[in-house]
Amino acid sequence: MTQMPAHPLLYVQDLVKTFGSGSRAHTAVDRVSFALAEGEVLGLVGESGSGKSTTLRCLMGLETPDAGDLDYDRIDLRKPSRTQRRRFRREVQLVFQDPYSSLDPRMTVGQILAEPLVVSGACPARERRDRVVETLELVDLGAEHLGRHPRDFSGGQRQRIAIARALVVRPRVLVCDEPVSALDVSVQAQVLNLLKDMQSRLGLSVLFVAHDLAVVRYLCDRVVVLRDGRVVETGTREEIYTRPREEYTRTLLEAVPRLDPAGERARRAVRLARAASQGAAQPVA
Amino acid sequence: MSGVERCPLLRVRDLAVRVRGVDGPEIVHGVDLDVQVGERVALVGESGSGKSTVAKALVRLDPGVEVAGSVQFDDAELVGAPERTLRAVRGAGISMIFQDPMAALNPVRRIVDQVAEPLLIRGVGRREAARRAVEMLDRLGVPRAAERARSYPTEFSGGMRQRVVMAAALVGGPQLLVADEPTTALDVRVQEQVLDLVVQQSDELGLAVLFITHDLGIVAGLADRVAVMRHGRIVEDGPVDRVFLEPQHPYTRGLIGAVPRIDADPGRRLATVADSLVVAREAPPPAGTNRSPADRTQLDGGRS
Repeated sequence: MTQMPAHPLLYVQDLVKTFGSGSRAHTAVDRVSFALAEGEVLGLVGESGSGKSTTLRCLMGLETPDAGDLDYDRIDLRKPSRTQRRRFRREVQLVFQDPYSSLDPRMTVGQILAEPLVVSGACPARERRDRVVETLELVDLGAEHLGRHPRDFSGGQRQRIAIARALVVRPRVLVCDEPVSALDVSVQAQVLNLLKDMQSRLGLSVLFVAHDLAVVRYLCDRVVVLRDGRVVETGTREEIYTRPREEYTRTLLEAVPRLDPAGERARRAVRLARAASQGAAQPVA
Repeated sequence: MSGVERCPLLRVRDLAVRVRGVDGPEIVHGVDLDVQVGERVALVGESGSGKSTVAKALVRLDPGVEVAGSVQFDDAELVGAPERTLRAVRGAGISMIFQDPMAALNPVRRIVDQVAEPLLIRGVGRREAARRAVEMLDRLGVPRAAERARSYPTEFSGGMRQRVVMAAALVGGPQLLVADEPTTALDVRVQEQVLDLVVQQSDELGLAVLFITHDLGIVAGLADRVAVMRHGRIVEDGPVDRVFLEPQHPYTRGLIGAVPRIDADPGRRLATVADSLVVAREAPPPAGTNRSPADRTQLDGGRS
């Protein structure tokens, strides 16, 4: 693929992952390649079954890939040493989709945020509390929340706590798996604004996996479009959204509803007329 | 768009819904809503706004709540009506479809039997009911409908299942389709197709649609009118173009400003509902204060 950054921080080359075997084998990821540069926000976008989640799981060591290279800052992620694995786990942090199931309900916010510090040894014991409070403030929550449990918070606040947990060890890379798709639009806006602020303030590199093309456009500098386990195209935000090279990308973009009643009615009228002239609508999927 | 008609198909007045039991809280307060014959109305709100509660209360689907006020459908009062009346209305007059088509379908029954069921219940003969079921599946774009009608729901994709559910909802020729987040679980291209079908059927059959959703984007090209709900109340109700272009309520403005847009400058910060409500509390500024319009625009998340 084109436009590999000169010095990628995270590098995926010809990744392959097949589930099942024989006639039931399904290749979920088929020679996917991309690179994440330092300080960049890269979007992996695709419909369900596009392979975006499997790619992410391979990257984070939750699945073993069948083939391909995975590199993070000169660490070969397919066979890292113990110290390399520790460094990767500290420097690359994950934010999950569902802030209800990703936080342990029995732990307090203080414990949730301190845990990664204890595990990674990223910060001496006596500085832990300060680091936790500082990080909590970063996501607009205060020290008064330290003793509370996840159930005491709204969905948007929980996602901010999840982001704080990822940030507390001062990572270089944030990997976000559909971090706003379970949230209401007003809460989603808060979390997206927060992610954008954190990224620029902390100079983070972000790998952002999502199905929502408008959300990806708001956040990402470059975009990888996936379909059926393959990379359809890769480009800058500008390239993907204003002059996509592939027909598939165009149809995806076309299908995103706009907040423009007159325009949307006109677009729909055109589609329905086209469908009528071609007989029944050809269903996708 | 339907103009001013004298008597709405659905006329909801002062609808209140309370959770059953001692001290059961009221979760919907004083909702008024009209749907004209053939009109498409979107009821929009975030989670907990009460939009689905209103939808279910129309035909008393949830036994766990008490409904007060008035729901008139086709000139008949449904609140307090006997179960027999409601059963006749459900399926025949008012049909509903929901977010998860798999939950609405029985996995071990053939598609054709499930789509034909509303007809069988009303005494249509087996062969005639099956014929009309297949016809409706074909109309909704299920390829090789006659053949595929004999298969089972698990053999269908998500988009196809939603077509099956829609076929079952429309086969009895209802006047009003209540669609509660029918495309939320679908990919964007499939969503577009399902919404196109809803609009097409509504136009061709003169079918009124009450569309319940959290997604303002899909409402824009679909609805004639939009009602916005928050905390169990309707805060704004108007023609779709007016609500989108000149929202009156600060909450509506906040919701619209919070949506990431595929056609706007990504450098423009998303507004949040809180921003807009702050402005609402502080505006209009009391006489004597000299807060500039620029300050307010800023608070409003950079609208205008």
